[in-house]
Amino acid sequence: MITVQRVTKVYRNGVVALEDVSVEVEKGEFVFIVGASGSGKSTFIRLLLKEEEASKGDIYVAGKNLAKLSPWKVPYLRRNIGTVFQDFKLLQDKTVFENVAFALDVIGKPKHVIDQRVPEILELVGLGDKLNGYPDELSGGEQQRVSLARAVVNRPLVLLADEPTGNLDPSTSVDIMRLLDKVNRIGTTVVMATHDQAIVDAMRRRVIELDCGRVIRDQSRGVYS
Amino acid sequence: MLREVTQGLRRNGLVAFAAVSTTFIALLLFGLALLISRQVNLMIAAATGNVEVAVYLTDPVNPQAVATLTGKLQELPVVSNVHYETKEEACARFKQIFASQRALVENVDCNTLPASLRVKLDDPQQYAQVAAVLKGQPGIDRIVDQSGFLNRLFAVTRVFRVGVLIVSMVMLIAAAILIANTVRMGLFARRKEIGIMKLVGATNWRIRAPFLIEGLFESLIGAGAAVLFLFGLKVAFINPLYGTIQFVPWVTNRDVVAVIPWLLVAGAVVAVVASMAGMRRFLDV
Repeated sequence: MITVQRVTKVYRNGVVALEDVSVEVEKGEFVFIVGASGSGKSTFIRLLLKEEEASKGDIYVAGKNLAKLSPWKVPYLRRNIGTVFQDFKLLQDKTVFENVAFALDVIGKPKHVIDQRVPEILELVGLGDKLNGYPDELSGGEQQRVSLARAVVNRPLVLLADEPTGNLDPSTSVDIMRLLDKVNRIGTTVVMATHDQAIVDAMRRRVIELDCGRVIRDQSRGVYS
Repeated sequence: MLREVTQGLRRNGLVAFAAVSTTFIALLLFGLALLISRQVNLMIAAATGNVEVAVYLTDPVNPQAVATLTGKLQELPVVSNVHYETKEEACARFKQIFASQRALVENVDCNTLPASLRVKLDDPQQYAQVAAVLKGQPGIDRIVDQSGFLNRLFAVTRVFRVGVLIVSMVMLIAAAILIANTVRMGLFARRKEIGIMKLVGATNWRIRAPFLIEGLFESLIGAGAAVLFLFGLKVAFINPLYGTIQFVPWVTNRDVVAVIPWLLVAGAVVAVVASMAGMRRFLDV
C-alpha cells in the first residue's frame, strides 16, 4: 500500500529531515512511527500526502508514484488517504454534521450520499447524538472523534494520523486508539506518528523508530523503546 | 457552493462595496467613451455626409459632363466612392438639416442649390490628386475639400475620447486591484477551510470557484449599475434634445443597448483576471 524507497528529504533551508529512509507498509497494516520531536515523523506523513516532495528516492502510495503524479491528480490521491491531526482541524462555525459533510461535499458527493453516510459514520465513532453540536461544545476526545469521522467518511485506503492523541488525556487517548483499531480492522491501512509510549506499548503493533531522520528500528509487534 | 459565495460577500462587505463601486465608475466611463464616439460619428456623418470632397457642378447640369467626371474620379485609386447628388437630393438634405428653422425651409428655392459629385477618399490626405484630375474639366463650378475640417474635428474629438478612455482604464485597473484584494481577504479568512479542502482532496478548481464567482459577481453588479446609469444619463440629457436641436442626429436607446455587451465583457474580463491574480501562489498544492 505504501512503499518508501531510499527517500531523503532536505528542506530548502538545508535541514535534513529524512535520510535514506526505506519503509514498506502492506495493505491492512497498522504501523506506529515513533521518535523524538524533530526526528522526521511529520515530514514522513507530509511526504505521503504529497504536501512535500522527496529530494531523493521514490514513494508509492496506493499504487501511485508520487514523484510522477501531476499536480492536478494530487487531489484524487488524497481522496484515498484520510488524515487526522493533533489539532483536530475542525471548522468552528460548522456543526459536527457539517464538518464531516464538508469533506464529502467538496469532492462532489451528492446530497443523498452525504445524508446517508455522515450520520452512519458519526454513529460509528459514538457521536450519533451530537450531530448538531458545535466543536467548541465538545470535549477534546469528542472533537478528535469528529475529525476521525471526517477522515474515514470517504472510505480511504490509508489513514494517516499525526500525533492524534497529542492533545488528549490518557483515558481519552485509549478511546481514540480503539476507534483507530476499529478502522484498521475493516481493512484500512493505518500509519500513526506518535511519541505516546503507553499507547504504543499497549497496542503491540509494528513500530518504526526514527532518529534524526533515519530508521533505527523496524519491529513487528514492537514497543516504544 | 452558492452559500460560500454569499458568505464571502457578506464577510467582506465594505471592501466588496468598494470593488463594486469602482467597477461601476470605471465601466460607466468606459460606456460614456463609447457613446461619445458614437455621437461624434453621427454628427460628422450628418455634417459632411462622411465625404471628403464635394465637387459642385455648374447650372444647368450636363449629364455627359457628370458621366465623364464620375468616370475620371473612379479611375483614381484613392477614390473609394463617387455619388452624384442631384438638385432635388441637395434640397432634401438642406431641408432635413435645417428642419428646425422653418423660415429657411419655406423660403429656399431648390433651384439655387447646386448639384454635386460627392467623393469619398480612402486616404483623405490625397485631396491634391483629385484636384489635379478635375482641373480644367468643363461643368465644374467649385471644388470643396472638407478633409481639413474633418481632420480637425476628428483630432479634437479624439483627444476627448482618448482622455475618457484612459481615465476609465485607470479606474478599471483600480477596480481590478480592489477585486483582487477582496478575493485575497476571502482566502485569508478561510485559509483553514481551504487547508481542509486540500487535505480531503478537493480539486483546485473546486476551491477556486467560489472566489472566482465572488469576483465576477462584484464586477457584474458594477456593470449592471453602469448600464442603468448610462440609460439614466441618456434619458436625462439627450432625450430633451430630440425636440429642440433637430438637425443633429442624437444617440438612441439602441446605441446604449449596443454598448451593454462591451461593458459586461470588460467587467467579466477584469473580474476573472483580478480574481486569478488574487489567488496566485495561495493555492499551490
